Amino acid sequence: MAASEVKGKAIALDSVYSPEETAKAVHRVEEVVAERRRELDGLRRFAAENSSLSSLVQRLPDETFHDIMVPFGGVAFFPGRLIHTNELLVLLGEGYYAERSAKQTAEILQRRGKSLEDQIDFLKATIADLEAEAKFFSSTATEAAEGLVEIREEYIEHSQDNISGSSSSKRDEDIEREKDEEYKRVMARLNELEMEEQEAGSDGEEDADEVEQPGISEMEEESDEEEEMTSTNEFRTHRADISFSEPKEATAIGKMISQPKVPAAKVVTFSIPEEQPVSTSESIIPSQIQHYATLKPTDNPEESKTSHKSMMGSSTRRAFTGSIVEHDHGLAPIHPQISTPADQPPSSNPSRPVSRFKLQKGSR
Amino acid sequence: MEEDLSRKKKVQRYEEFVDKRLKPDLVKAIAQRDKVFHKQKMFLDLKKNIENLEKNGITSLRSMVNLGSEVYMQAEVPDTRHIFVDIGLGFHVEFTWSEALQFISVREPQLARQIEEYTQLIANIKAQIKLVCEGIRELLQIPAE
Repeated sequence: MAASEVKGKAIALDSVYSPEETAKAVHRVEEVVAERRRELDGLRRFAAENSSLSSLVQRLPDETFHDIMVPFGGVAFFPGRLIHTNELLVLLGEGYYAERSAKQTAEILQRRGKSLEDQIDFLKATIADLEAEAKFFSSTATEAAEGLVEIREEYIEHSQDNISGSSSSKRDEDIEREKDEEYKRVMARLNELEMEEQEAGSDGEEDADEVEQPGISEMEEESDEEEEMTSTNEFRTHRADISFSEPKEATAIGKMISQPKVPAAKVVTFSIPEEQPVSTSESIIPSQIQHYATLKPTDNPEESKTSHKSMMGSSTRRAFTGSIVEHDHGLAPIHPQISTPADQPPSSNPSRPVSRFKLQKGSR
Repeated sequence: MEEDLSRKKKVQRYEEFVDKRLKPDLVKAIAQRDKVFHKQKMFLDLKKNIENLEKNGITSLRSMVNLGSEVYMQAEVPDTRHIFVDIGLGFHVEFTWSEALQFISVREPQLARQIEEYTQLIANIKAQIKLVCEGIRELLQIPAE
């Protein structure tokens, strides 16, 4: 290489890492190491205590009692003895104690010892790491102090010979192409998904329209004079109610029909045996909606009749084997006049509501 | 300029004295006083306990002994009339109840005196720290609050 060409630059190490700073870093790391060592010592002491206690606990039940000095407060004790040598209270933590036998206690202590060992191992690893760090810092510091120089040179690809260059470039191309293909694949997949999503979205809208449209249109056709415009949701819940209570209702209705007159409630039953049971298939929703639209808010019996007809007609096509109990509030004339007072004159027509004024007059 | 440099050095020396000498001393003194407090409390408890025993005429008792690591076992004391009390330096003397109470009544004022001494020492160290800080303030010519 020609001497005139200067490709790299030399950096004195101590200009990057000043000796004082590195010394400080070493000092700090060493402090941390000392702290960890203290922790380790503490843990080792715990482990030793634990193992000695374990052996003691295992030895104690060998005899029924042991003469000891029983501590009495911190500064005094009595001569006494240990009794019930196979009963130990072990602190589980948080102020909870468990009464265990010597063997069980030994097991607990063994488990504790294991966890202590784990902690000790972990601390040892940490200390090793920190020491390596400190060593690195100190070596850097010494190197910087010795006046070591770091040389950096830019890596230039063109200086490579042809063969290796072409091969490497070829490989690069390959990688490039692969990347492109992958990108294309991903984009294609994304487009596909988007299309699907769009289709699904439009389908859903159409479905919703289908559900709503016929109900509304027929409602308009059949009952133009209706004042109450109730939402389709309500009808759906009505439908659900009826289908749910179907079997019980059917028997009740049978009885009701056998009776000649049921004045307050009008019962409508219809069953189409060849079709599947009610309320499970989604297709019946529109017809049901339409029925209830006509059924529920009717005020005069005439209108309700027509609606029943239409219902019968449509329900031959649709699956609905249920029954409907309709409480027709508009049918005041047929209501039994329970509330009428007993002293009411018999001449007054029960089917016609008597005005209060007339009532008062009659009673007078 | 020369003056500034020497003053800076002086301040640094004072600060080092506070941080490396006075403050550790203070911590040590407080720790020792706490130890004596603890001892005093133990003797007070013992006195109460012995008085309790005397009042109720208890001659035998059962207690739980800590075997270490918070593992306890039952212990029985057949005769409580003789009690061994720590008299310091690792010596224990066998006392009867009245003798023990007498010993405690001697020991308590002594402990109180020790606490008093440590309190004095702590106050002293605190005063020194204050003094040195004041000196630093004067050197830096910061007006007193």
